[in-house]
Amino acid sequence: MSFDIDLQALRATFLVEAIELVGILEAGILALEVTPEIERVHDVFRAAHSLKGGAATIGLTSLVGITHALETVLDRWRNGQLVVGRAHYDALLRTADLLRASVEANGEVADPATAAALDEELTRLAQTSAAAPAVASAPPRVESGSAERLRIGFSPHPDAFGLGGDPLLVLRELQGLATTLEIELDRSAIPPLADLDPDRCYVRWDLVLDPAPGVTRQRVGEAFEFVESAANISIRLADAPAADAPAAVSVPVPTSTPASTTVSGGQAESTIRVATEKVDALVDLVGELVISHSGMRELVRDGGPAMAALQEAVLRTERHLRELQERVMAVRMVPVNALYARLPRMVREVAGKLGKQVVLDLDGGETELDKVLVERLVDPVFHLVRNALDHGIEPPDVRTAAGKSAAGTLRICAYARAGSVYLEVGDDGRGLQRDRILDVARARGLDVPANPSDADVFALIAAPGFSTAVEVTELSGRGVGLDVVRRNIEQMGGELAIESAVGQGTKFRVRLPLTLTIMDGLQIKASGQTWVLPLTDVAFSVQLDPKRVRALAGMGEVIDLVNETLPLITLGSVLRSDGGGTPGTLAVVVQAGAMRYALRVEALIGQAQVVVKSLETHYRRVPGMIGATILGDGKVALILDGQGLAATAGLRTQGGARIAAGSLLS
Amino acid sequence: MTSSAHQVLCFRLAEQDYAVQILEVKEIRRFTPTTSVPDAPSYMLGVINLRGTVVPVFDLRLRFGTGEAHVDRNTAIIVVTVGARNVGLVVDSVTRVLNISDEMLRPVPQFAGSIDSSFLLGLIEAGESLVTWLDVRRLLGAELEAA
Repeated sequence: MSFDIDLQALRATFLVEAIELVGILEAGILALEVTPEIERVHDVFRAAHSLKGGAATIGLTSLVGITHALETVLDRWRNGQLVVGRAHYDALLRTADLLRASVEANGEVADPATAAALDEELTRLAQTSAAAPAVASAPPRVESGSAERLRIGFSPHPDAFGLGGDPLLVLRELQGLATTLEIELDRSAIPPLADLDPDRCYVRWDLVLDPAPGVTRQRVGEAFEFVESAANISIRLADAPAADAPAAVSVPVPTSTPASTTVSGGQAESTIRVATEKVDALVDLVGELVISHSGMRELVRDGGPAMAALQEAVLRTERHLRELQERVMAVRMVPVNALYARLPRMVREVAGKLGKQVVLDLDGGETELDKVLVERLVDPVFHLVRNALDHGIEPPDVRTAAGKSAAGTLRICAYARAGSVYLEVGDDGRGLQRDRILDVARARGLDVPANPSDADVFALIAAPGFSTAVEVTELSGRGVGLDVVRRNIEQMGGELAIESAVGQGTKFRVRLPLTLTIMDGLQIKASGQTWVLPLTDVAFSVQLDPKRVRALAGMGEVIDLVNETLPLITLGSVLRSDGGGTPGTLAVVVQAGAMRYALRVEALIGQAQVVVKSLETHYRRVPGMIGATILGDGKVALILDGQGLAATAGLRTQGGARIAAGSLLS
Repeated sequence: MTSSAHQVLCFRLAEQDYAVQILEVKEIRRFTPTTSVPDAPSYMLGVINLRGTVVPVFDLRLRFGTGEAHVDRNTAIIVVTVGARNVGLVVDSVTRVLNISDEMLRPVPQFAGSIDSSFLLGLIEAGESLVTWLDVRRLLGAELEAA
């Protein structure tokens, strides 16, 4: 029974690793197609080999089959026995797809028919070189390669079985690499039966191996890849001195110590793989700690002189707590590279289908962003990229006619600035056409401001309703579902900005908060309960002068401020959540996106960092709310969404609202 | 143990006995005031803080239209799991845990016309009283869907 559980756990570990390996595989193949470097072929081969080994350990035989075929192609490639061309790249990429789908299907081959066809295709391609050489220079052969008899000492650690290593698998693999293999089992360490622990390994092997043609010593070392962490392994030429002599002196290979057979690890930076739930639990816990601490701070604040020392201690704790919180939050951050990794493939395919030539330029992949945000960014960014390829970058002949290079450039870059992360998707294509957009917007009955700036015009293409019909899209040349992209980004608390110049290209700039889970908020009292308003949505607050508040027939109230007249909304009536309370005598001016309005509140409680909790986890999305948070006293407060609230209140954008108010006042 | 044997948690609402499958019950807690949530039906009282997570609380008496909810020292919140969610149910009092067998179960009577009784799993005959066995998922599922 415990064995089953171990196998389950092992499989889970394998699947997580496998996703990464498939990623390495795919990225490597794509990179090789651009710049063939033999080092990269080795990387890709190792990924394939690790996949195969892992699949074999778990007993996923169907995966072993296809990864073996894949490995064969890569092996012949890295040994210079195969010239790789377009057909190979295509097949390799399709194999990567199949592997990804299989891993996502819990490790079972997702589509056996395709797998069989691919297996056959790979096997054929392994023997079929492309016409033109793709790898520029012949790969360096390892001189100590074949035909040299190797003497191998293989001593699994006593606990090797517990770590999942299976010596028999290694021996079988070696058999496949050898013309002759002598195996000698050393059983001398096996204790009397009474003392024998069946979970321990008491045996070791001495092997003499004549490598098969093309099998390098490095390749032989790789057979031990999955057991090397739990075994002493020595590989030396059969006529070299014993292992305890300094091997490097007498062996004419630069890498000669057993440790040098290490393939995985080593150069990689030190990381630990941790389940997201564990991190989330930490984030929650630290959030709780911050909350209970702020409760404590409130208790000691009004305590008089006797409390002074305690106050100081509380403040000191607060500093540590903030730092702890920041560090825990940092664990959730992942580089944007996780998103970038999926782009080359997609660009290659879309550009291929559209018959366009595109150079993809990725920059700032190391910029870090909350894991959740990176995941939620995938769809919008894919959309922007597809959009740029389809509508931005012109076909090669059009480009050359316009005096541009035949290949367009798609530049994606990410950077962090002032608490926000920016991601830009820019092309050097035809650019947005202002007049056409205006025509379409008017035809669609959208609000078009008088004397619109470029930014106003470009914003129209992401307005809801701009591009619901196909012919409009074709006319405008842009904007398929850009309103959806914009909405997705706004739901993440971000913004979408558009810049463009005719003939020079278009750039979409996405601004996002660093993290979704913590925000600075203003606590307010309204409609009888406490709410939190994101500080980024707050412009300023004013005392409500009854003389300056007027009711507009059927349109609610407006307030006259120094330079502007703004709609005045009351939470209770907008949200139809009448918690009682008195009508407020204060107002907070909210600026969220294009929305600007005044929100009537009973009291301003103060500014505080809050931990955002989802309402959807146990309930559902609530219109006008970002989520909820837990206050110092343990009560729940809802976090208002400045833009969502305006939408719920039925407000129009700044220009529209102002015109409505202004026309009545004049 | 046969597959039809169940344990249920019984509670009272407006002088009536009700029950939920005990495996669905996460915990029972004293009533605490809720934070009201906009755009929700009246029987959705609001949300509470359940050890750092935000959990909705429903008042079953308002749901069944059996009177005004009032809070006294017996009023409790039963936290139950519905799929992956936890939700709180406000009840007048929690009474007992009942072992039930097939013989105690009576089918749900057919109600006339449009009365939706799909959230009733059955009636349990327990001594003097008749306990209404509720399917919480059916009862509240619609409220938990995205609006």
